[in-house]
Amino acid sequence: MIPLEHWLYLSGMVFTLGLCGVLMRRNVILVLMSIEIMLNAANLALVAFNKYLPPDPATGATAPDGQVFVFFTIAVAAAEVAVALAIAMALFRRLDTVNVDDVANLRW
Amino acid sequence: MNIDTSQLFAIFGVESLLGLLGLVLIVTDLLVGKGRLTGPATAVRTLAFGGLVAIFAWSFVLEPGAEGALGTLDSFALFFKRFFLATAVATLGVAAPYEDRLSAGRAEFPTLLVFTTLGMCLLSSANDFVTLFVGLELVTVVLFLMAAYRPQLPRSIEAGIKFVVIGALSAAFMVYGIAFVYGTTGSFEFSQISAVINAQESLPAGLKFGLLMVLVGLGFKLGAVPFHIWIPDVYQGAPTPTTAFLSVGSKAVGVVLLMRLVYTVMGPAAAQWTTVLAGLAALTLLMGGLGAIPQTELKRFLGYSGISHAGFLLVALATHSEASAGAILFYVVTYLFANMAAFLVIVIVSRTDDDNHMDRINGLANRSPFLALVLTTSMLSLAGVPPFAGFFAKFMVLRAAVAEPALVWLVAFSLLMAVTSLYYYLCILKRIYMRDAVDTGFLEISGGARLLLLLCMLAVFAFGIYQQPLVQAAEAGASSLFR
Repeated sequence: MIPLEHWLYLSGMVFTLGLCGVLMRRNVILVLMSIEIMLNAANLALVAFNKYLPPDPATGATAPDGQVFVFFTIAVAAAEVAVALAIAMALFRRLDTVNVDDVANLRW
Repeated sequence: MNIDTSQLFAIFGVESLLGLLGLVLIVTDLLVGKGRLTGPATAVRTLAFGGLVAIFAWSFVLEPGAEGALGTLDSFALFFKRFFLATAVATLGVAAPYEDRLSAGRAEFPTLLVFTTLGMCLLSSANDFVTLFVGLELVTVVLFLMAAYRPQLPRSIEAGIKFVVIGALSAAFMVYGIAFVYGTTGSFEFSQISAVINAQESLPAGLKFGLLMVLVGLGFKLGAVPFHIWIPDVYQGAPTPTTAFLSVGSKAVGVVLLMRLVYTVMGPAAAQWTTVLAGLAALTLLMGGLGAIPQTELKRFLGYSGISHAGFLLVALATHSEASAGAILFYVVTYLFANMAAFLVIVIVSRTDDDNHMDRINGLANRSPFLALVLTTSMLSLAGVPPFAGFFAKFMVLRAAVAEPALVWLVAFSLLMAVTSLYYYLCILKRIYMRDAVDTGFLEISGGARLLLLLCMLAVFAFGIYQQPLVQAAEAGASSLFR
């Protein structure tokens, strides 16, 4: 079996990749996609952790809490993205841009 | 995890009623509203107000004690449920004079407000990371919408997009942190995590990392430096009622969850985190204190003022004693009254063109002595000048902190920053009393707005002079965290 560390390295790499995307991309849609990648890295870690938890001595099985949590994350991320894209649409309609650098009127 | 469904209503009674109220509001809007996108929303607004007040009153009948797998209804949760309901009612009051400025979606605003309040009440009961995550996302996602509520205004859109990116980012950090906490403790439940944390001498690296990431996620909500970047922009760009709700509600959400995590989950092990929290507190105080000075926009100014208040709350969190927990509860209540009054005054002085430049309050003492008095009270309370409630709140926080020898430097620094912040609050007073008015239009104050302003002002006075009832309520609320 593949050791847990490998999954965590993978998830860490994906998370970092997403974070770099958020910091370096200038297009709002791509920034949102990068955040989705970060969330998926967290999901991967959750599932991997759940798989490798020691089983409950009473029942001999591991409760699938972590995997159920992933469903919550997926559902919430979908809701979040729906709202985010609606706002990105409004941004494009009003300011004719999806570039985050152009959205900088509020500053001191 | 076993969920006892018979307990669910006992624990989540307030939330169930709020959910029901939200649905009723949607249906009412469909049935009553004619040409509803642009028409007035008197029916929905009145119903939302009545429903929220009724639930608020009902929450005083509830007895703490119910506990289940997903949530708990201890006195701490109950205190914050009442607090969030009061915040929502006050926000409706701030939104009422603002409604005419919305070109569409007047009926949806109270509905969204009810659903966010649901999320906040859910969070105050959370004793499990699943409830915490779902509640937190319910709050943030609805707040995104409320920030971008006037899509025809570029600044509202800008506030929305910045809030979305930062909010989603903090959620990602949070889930990643939760994954590591789960992986190293084997549970999402606070009680079990706490048992694992306090069973060992030093925490494993994975658990430390997980807790740190969760702390980062909550730091965004609280507006702690270095996670405060969104605060000034979103405060300035969002419609004023949203800003009012955000400033009190989002901060309190961060406070509730941090208190649960620091006092209950980490328990005695939290002593190891004192340095981290104290460092955050010092940075936040510094940023809030200095950032507000050059501001010329009222809401942006209150954003920086809010950051400095987050600093004081972090000082109390770093202290980790029962006295400091009570001080936090007292602090957020005084902050609610002072802040809501300030935002309602802003709504009134910005008039229909919705200009929030500080010039708008120049010479306010001549234009409307009542508004000038309210704003003065609110600013002095936020600055922490005796005999107003804000002074006593800061005093309680610092008195609790000074008992801990390791935090004496932080107390000295907070005092210094409190004096610095006095400067910019006094600049506001100078504008009110010493400058000539720039805007001379008629300031329309409706009866409801007058009542709310009067109520907030009296509360700020009353809790400053006679603190005992609120102190007792706050201490009773905080006590259940330390069982």
